[in-house]
This record gives sequence, structure tokens and C-alpha cells, in this order.
Amino acid sequence: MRRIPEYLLIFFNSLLVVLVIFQHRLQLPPWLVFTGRLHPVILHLPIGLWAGTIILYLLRHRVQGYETLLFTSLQVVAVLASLTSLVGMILALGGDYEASRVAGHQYAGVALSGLLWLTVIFFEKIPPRVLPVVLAGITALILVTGHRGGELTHGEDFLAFSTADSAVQEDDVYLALVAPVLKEKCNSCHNESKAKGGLNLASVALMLRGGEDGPALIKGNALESHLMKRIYLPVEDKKHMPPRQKPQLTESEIEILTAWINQGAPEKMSFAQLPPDSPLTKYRRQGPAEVYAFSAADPETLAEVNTPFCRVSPVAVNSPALQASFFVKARFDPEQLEKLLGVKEQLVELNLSKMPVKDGDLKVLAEFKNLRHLNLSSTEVTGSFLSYLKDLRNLKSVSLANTRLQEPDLEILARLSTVYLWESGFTAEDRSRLKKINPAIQLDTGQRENERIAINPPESSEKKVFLKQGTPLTLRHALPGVLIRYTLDGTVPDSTRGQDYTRPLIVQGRTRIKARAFKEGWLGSNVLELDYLVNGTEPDSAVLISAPAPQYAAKGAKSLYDRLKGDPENFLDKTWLGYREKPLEAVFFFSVPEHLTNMTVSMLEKIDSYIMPPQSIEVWGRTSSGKEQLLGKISPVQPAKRGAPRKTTYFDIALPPQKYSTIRIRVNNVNPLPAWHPGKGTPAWVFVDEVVFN
Amino acid sequence: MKEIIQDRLNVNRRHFLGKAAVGIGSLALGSLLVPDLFSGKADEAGLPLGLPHFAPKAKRIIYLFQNGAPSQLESFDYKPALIQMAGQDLPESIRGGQRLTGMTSGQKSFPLVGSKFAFQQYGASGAWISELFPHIASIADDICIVRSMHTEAINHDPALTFMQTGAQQGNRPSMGAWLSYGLGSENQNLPAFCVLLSRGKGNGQGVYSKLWSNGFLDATHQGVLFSSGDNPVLYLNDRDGVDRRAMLDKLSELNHLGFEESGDPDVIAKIAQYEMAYRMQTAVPELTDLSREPDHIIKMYGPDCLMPGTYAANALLARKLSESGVRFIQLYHQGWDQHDNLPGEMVGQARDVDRASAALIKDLKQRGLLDETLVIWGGEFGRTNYCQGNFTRDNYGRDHHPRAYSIWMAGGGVKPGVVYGETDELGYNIVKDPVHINDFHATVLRLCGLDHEKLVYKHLGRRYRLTDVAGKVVPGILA
Repeated sequence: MRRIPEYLLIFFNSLLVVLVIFQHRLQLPPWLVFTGRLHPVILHLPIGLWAGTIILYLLRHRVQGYETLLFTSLQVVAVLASLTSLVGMILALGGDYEASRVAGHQYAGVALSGLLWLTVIFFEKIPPRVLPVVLAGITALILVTGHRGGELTHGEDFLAFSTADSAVQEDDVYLALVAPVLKEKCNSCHNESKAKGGLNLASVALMLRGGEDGPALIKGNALESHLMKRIYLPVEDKKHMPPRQKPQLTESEIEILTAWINQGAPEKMSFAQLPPDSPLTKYRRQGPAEVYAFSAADPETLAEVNTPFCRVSPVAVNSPALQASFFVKARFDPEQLEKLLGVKEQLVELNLSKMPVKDGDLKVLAEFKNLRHLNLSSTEVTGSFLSYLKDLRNLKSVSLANTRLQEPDLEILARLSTVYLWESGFTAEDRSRLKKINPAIQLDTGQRENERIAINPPESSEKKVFLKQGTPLTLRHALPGVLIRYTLDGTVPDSTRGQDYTRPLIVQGRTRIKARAFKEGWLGSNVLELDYLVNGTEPDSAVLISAPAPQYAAKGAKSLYDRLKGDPENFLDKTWLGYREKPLEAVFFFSVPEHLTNMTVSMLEKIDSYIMPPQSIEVWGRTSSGKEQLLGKISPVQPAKRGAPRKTTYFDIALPPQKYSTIRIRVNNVNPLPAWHPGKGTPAWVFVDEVVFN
Repeated sequence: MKEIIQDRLNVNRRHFLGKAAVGIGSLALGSLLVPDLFSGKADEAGLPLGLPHFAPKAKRIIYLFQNGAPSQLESFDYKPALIQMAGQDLPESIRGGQRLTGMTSGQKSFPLVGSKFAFQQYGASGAWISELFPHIASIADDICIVRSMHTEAINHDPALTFMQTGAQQGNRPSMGAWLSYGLGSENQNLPAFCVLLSRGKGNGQGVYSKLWSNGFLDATHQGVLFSSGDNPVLYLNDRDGVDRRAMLDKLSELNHLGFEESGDPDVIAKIAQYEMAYRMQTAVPELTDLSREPDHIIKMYGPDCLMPGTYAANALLARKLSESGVRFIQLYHQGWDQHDNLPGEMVGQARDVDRASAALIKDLKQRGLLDETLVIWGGEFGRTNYCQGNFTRDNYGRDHHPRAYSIWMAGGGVKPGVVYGETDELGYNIVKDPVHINDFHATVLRLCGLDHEKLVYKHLGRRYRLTDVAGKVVPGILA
């Protein structure tokens, strides 16, 4: 039993010597090639155990029987090391690695194996004072061997500090997107030292040179590129890459490689050079934030310069840069600008938009050396302030939109990269001169809508329908300089019909107004239609001769003269009387006979809900003495199609002027509905909310 | 056994100091690896609040929410195959077990239907945009169309809530509240988060205050709903003979007493809001002043912008609020739920929003503000590629479709003139670059300089994020 290690050592080491000497003439059987792959697994055993052995040696004074233990572990390490060397040798002979690069690791491994063996053989003869030297020597050799091996697997710069310029890397398509994918998923088998299939994917040139199967890439053609063909193959396919047991490429990674090859596989190309529709652009990482050379402002100073009308805050957490914005025109105080001098070093953005700031107030700007963005839109500046900007080297953009500039200093503006000049009094001539001085400058002069579109209608001061006699009515329009024209006779006003609105109209009896707005540069507005009822003569009582539909009974006859207008959106609001099965018929009584000249019936129209204008309205009246006689009948024009919006309609009926003691009306519903209506053949509804007498 | 343990606990001073030295040494080494480990300045989220985590691209957001879900197939996702295959049944293999709403689950067939509106390519990116949106088409080079949004919800309320709060249930803070919490207020005289409502004539769906809720965040982060009347903020003016300053000072004293007694942080939030309202008295009149808006700006937004409560008026107001430093302005335009009569209703809805949406982009751009303002346009999900209800040659409807929909974004660090993502030929499934709502939120926060994994709030024992436990920034739409 005790001699087993001895024999193993002899066996492994002899075999190792044979392999080293005859490595160029060997023919390895496949099963043996497989054992080679165990190398990366077992190599960790002797290393770990060696660390244990060293610890054992260091603790030798505290461990009983330490010498036996040390010898045993030395033996085991030696056996494992020789075995590792052996399978390592087999792996190297398998042909996946470039011989010249493996050599160093190979011979170091063999030497290590030999040194350990010798140490085991002569262990008892080693004087205690020399032992540490031997152990140190073995440790050194292990480190060298391990390091060389690590370089083969992980690449040579694996242990080097990352020194590459990250900003350049971020902006280069190949370095930022393509190289990381290859490095993570491909390069472990296809690198300089281990080029499986003769293929090294470490650089674009090498990919174009390719391996045993020809070039890996065809510029501009991902589908035909060998690299992609292997990736596209189903995972079960033997030729699929990466091999089944290795981490596979994600969809995004495949998209990156595909798009990059289709783009011509450029090795040096920034994101800015990519066409905007390239799928690669979406993988761009945000560039690093701007780094400022100055340090943050004192928190107390920062608190001092802040007011509810001037907010000064860092642009981001941990950023020394500050931005300042002024708010509320009425509270603007030019002195507050002076206060910003306390943070002049840190101020990178200043927003004075809409403040009543004048050129003279801006002298202080000259002190803000780190200012990047200045917003002066909708202020009262004229441009003389530009001289204060002369020495602001960091200033990039200025907004002067909606200002009245007068001959601004173009030389100073030309130093900026962006200027907003919409509605600034900046002439086309200034613009071209500015472009001449700095062709790269971005000028936004905005746009002016010159299309002629209809202006919106005027508005009335009265939203109610029932007004008192003599109420003044104001027509108005939100835009200044609008001409309002109106008619009172039901015709549509235009340039010939109707009159200009100049002063409030006084409501006298039933009033119908049609009004339109006109303004230079616009088409005339749609018609504003206003119907006002004056609460004229109220009946003393009324009765409904025919009963309304029970759900639309409102408050009975009283609803017809309670002077409550119904809501056209809601005919269940207890103001509307609805009839379908029969016409509405009602009688109004005047205990003292009243002199009447006309009356108005207020109704609802909602065609899609079967609520039509009445077929006809008939009115009978009785004077104090005479018999009841027919006073009038109207038959409104019927609609001819669906889809009209719901609306309130008013039907005016003139009465022979005299004193009446009763008035009877009959509102006949349409029956049957016409053929175009979905309810054809059935009766229509009529809805009435008010009847007004004058 | 007890004795042994006690014996081990008997540590003498030398042993204690010796071991402690080793422990302190290892901590010292650890602190070299973890910056700020002992500096004590980081809060539990790891980062202080009220400032972006890194330099932001977008300082403010205007979200033009098209409530009800506008059809992507009639707007930004051109599918000619649907026109050729009109009337044919949607193959089950494409539907792939997608659950349906109660409105079409009983339908016997799912006839495909193509857009009734013509499409054309616009801009350098060649984006396909329908004839319903000529003005948005004119800014194709400024916007990034994302055709591959997808969600999990199939009904309006959960979908809308998901889009706005990152969860379907409706107890979480809204995007605007998160932004207010994360970035703080820029202009302390206005709320950091404002909400503006408008309504089209199309079939509408409601919006509720939970959509602009502060959830578990402090009440100061709640969205403030502006009124759609002549006065966007009611009761700002003092009544005759009322000295609001004096009244607020007294009220604040009382409230502080109340806080000392109850310790309820909402009391403090209330005081802050009264003070804000006081400052708004001077800040708001500037917003409603149209006198500095030249006629052609009015034309650009369309004359509707003069009528308070319209989408165009809200878009113009949104620009003014944004200019005045409001972090997040949320518009909702209702009426986009075209289950039937889609061609008819969509014309009106598109007319409501097309001109003003494009005008907002142009207007911000010419003022130099588009670079720092992120504008988002879109709904809560898409609409099906098959017809809901009766299918006739010129009339059809579309049901809810969560698997793919289109939105667009502009400004604020978004790559302009780009079409991102792709759906299959029939516009049913996404085939390239899907963007989940969590991804969308992560990306929006990124643009605002916030790391969505670090913007957290501890509530009920766990840390919450707008993106909950998911979300990846979509680098493909970042400029």
C-alpha cells in the first residue's frame, strides 16, 4: 500500500518523458484525446493541495506528526502534478493550440512534475534548513506554470489592468459592441494561442483571413459569412457554434454581429457615422457624463441664492454644476441675478425666459465663465448684452426666441453652436452672414403658419337661454383685432349682410343672433347661433290634455312654463315632456286676458334617438268673449339623414295681436318615421321643455 | 453544554481587542470597495431625493394621453395585407390563445379589416403615417414612433392605470407623482404635476383621479387637475376684504398645533399646498395670458386653442406650464374607443388632436425647449386587426388589443426620426423589439436622469418602484 505513490510517480513521469521526446510522432486514439480535456479540471487539485502543504509547513511546530503528514501530502501533490502534466501534454498534442505558445507552459509543467518527484525521492535526505528553499522553489515553479496556462485560456491581458481609453471605446462600434461579443462567446477557443479550426477571431483582419474553412467574414454580407452560418445552424448541429455545451449567443448579440457585417465589418467606425436606421445604433451606451473642472458650491451659499422665484440646483446628484431658472414675471428682481455671483464658478445653465430682463441687467453674465446654456426667450433684450458674452468660452447655446433684436453682434453669436432665433427680429440677411462666419452653427428660426384657416366663432357673455327684458349682451373674441358681424333676422352675416358689432346688444323680447368673427389673414369663422327667450307673459295655469310617456312626464304641465331649460344631453332631467304614442296637447289659462303677439316652443332634436322635429304645431286661442279659433300652424322642415348632433330647437309662431284668455297647442309627432331612419314605420318622439308667450 | 458555551463567552480584553482589530480591518477594506459606506449621506434609497441621479436629457414631460386607445392600424402601423385580406378570418395560429374582451368573445368569426384611410411615407425615416394625421406627419423627422408597445390589460381602466402607474390595480403613485418625488419641483409657484382634460366626440371612457394620484407618496406629489373653464385654477383670487396672507398664517398655526397632536404628515402636506396656492396667485395669471402669443401661433395650434377645455387649448396651456417649469403635464383627450363606427369617429378625434399635437412639438422646438422637454403621445392599448360587430365595406369597429400598439415620443433625449419595433404582417403580434410598459417607464425615467431601480419608496415593508420588479431601458430610442 505504502508504495503505491512511488509506483504511480514512476509510471506517470516515465510516460511524460516518452511523450515529450516523441511528441511529433504520436498518433493519439480518440479516447485518449478526450482524457486530455480533463486537464483544466484536475490542474486545480495539485495547486490547492500545495497551498495546504505550505500551510502545514508553516504550522509545523503546532502539528503532531507533522513530518509524516508533510511527506504524504508531498507525495500526493507529486502524483497529481505528474498526472496533470500528462493529460496536459495529451491536450496540447490534440492540436487545438499553437505549439510555439504552449511550449512554455508545457515544459514548465514537466519540470514541475520532475522537481516534485525528486523532492519525494530525496525527502529524508534534505536538511531541515534547506527544506524551505526547496518548497519555495516548487511554489515558484507552480506559479510560473499556472500563469502561463492561465494566459492560454483567458488571454494574455487577463491579468493586466484595463488601461484602454473608455471614451474612445464607447464611441467605436467595433470596440463597444462587436469585440465584447466575440471576446465573451468566441475568443476562448479562437484566439492567438488557441485557434481551433485554425481560426482566430481576435481582429477583423484575422477574421477576413479566416481558418481551415476559408474567411470567416464577407464584408457586407452576413448571410454568406462563415461566422454567421455557423451561428445560425441549429444548436443540435455538430457544426453549430458556439458548441452546444458553451454559452450561446443571445438574439441581440446575433443582431449586433449580423448588422455589423452587413455594415461592411468596419474596424474603425463611430456611432455617428452609422446610418440612422442601422440596428446597431440602438445598442449604443450613453456616453460618460460631462466632467467639470470646478468643485461644488458651498451648500450654504447655494441655499442663500435660492428663492421661490429663482431656483438654483445641481444638474444631478454629485455634480458640481448648477442650473438657475427664474420664475414669475411679476416677481422678477434684477438684483437676484447679482446674487448668483456667489455661485458664478458653478453656473452652467441660466434660464431667464419670460422675465422682463433688459440688456443692462445682464452685465453680470460676463462673470459666469462656465456657462453652457443661456435662455433669454420672450425677454426684453435687444442684443447689446451680447458683448458681455465675449469671454464665455464654454457657452454653447443661446435662445433668443420671441425677442426684439436690433443689429445683434454676429461675431459673438457665431461662436456658439446653437442659436434659437424664432421671432427675434433676425433678418434673412443676418442669418446668411452668420452662416458665412460659422458654417457649422445651428440656427433655428422656427416657422410661421401661413395657411389660411378659419378663425373660431365669437362668444357671447350670456350662457343662459332665458333672459330678462333689457339685458345687455356682449359678444367677444379671445384674439385681439377681431371684427365681429351679426344679424338679428336669421340670415348668415358676411361682408354684405349684417352689421359690425361695436357695443353691447340689448335683449328685447325673443332674440335670435347669428354672429361671425373676421380677421386679416384668417378665413371667416363658423356661425355662432344664439337663441334667447325673454320671460314674457306667464300663464296662470295649464293642463296637459294628452298624457306624456310615463318616463318623460317631468313635473306635468307646470314644466312647460317653469322657465327651466332642459339639458339636451339628458332628456331624463325632469324638464322635458316626451310624447310618442300621441301628440302633445296642452291648454294655458290667463285669468286676466293677456295681450299676446307671438309664442315660442322650445324642443329637442336628436335624430339617432328617434327624437325628430314636430310634424306640425297647431295653436288655437280664445279671447275673453269669442269662440276658440285656429291661430296658426307651422310645419318644420324635416331632416333627411342621420348623424346630426343633438340640439335644442325653437319654433316661433306669430299670433294675431289681441287679448287671449286661453291658448291651446298641439305638437304633432312624425308618424311614421321615414324610410331612411332605422326606426322606419314606427312613430317618432317629440320633446318639449318650455312654451313662452310674448 | 451550558458551561461550555459560557466558557466561550468569557472573552478577556486582550482577545476582544485583538479580534475587534481584525474585524475593523476587514470593514476598512470593505469601505474601500463600497464608496460612501460610512459617509452617512446616502438615504435608504441610496440617493438623495429631488435631484436627478445623472445629468438628465429631459427636464420636463408633457404626456398627450389619447384616452380610449386610438387604433394603431389607422394611424402609425401600416398593414396593407389587411386590406387585401379584408373579410377573411383571423387564423387561430396568429391569435394564439389571446383572451378576448366580453364584447367580442361571443363573436363567431373574426374578419380581418384594413385601414379605410390611406397611408404615405414621411420624413427621412420613411415612417408610414395615415392621412388622418397630416400635421403629425409633417413632424415625422422630429418624432420616434414606437410600434411595439404591449401591455397585459385588455380593458380600459386597468390598462390606463397600468400605463400611468405601472400597476393595474390603482393604488400606486402615478408617473407624474414619481417624477415630482424624484426630481422635486422646478418652479415652487406651481404644482410639479398638472392634469388637463379634454373630450372628443368619439365614444369615450372615463378618467378618474386615481390616475394622477400620489398613491403612498406624500400628498404634495399629487397631480393638480386644472379646470377646463375660463379660469384654469378656481378660487385663486381673494374675495373682497379677505387678507389671505393673514388668514394663512393663522391657519398654519392651527395646523401646526394639529400636527403636534396627531403627527399626521398629511397636515404638513396641507400647509405646503395652501402656501403653494398663495404663490400661484401671482404665477397663474401669466399662464392664461395669450397677449404674447402671435396670431400664427394660434393658427399653428388651431383656433380651438382659444376655447378653454379643448385639446388644442390644453396643448397650448401645456406648453406654457412646461415653459414655467412644471415637471409633468398630463393631458387626457377622451373619445378614442371605436368599437363601432370607427372610420367616422376617428376622423373627428384625429381632427381634434392632430394639428395641436404637431404644433406643440414645433413650438417647443423653435423656443429651444424641445431638447429638454419629453413629449409622449399615445393610448393605453391597441385595437384588433379584426372587425368587431357587423363588417361592411365602409364601416367597421375594432376591439381592444393588448399585444401591440403604437405611441410616439419626441424631444428630451429621444432619438428623432426613428421608427422602432415591428409587428407581423397582420399587425397582431410583435415580431421585433417589443417594449413593455415597464420598459417604457424605465426609459422615460432614464431620460429624466433617474435610475428606475433606484427611485424607490418604502411602503408596507417593501420598496416600491414605478417599474415594480421589471423594466429595462430601451437603448434603441435614446438619442
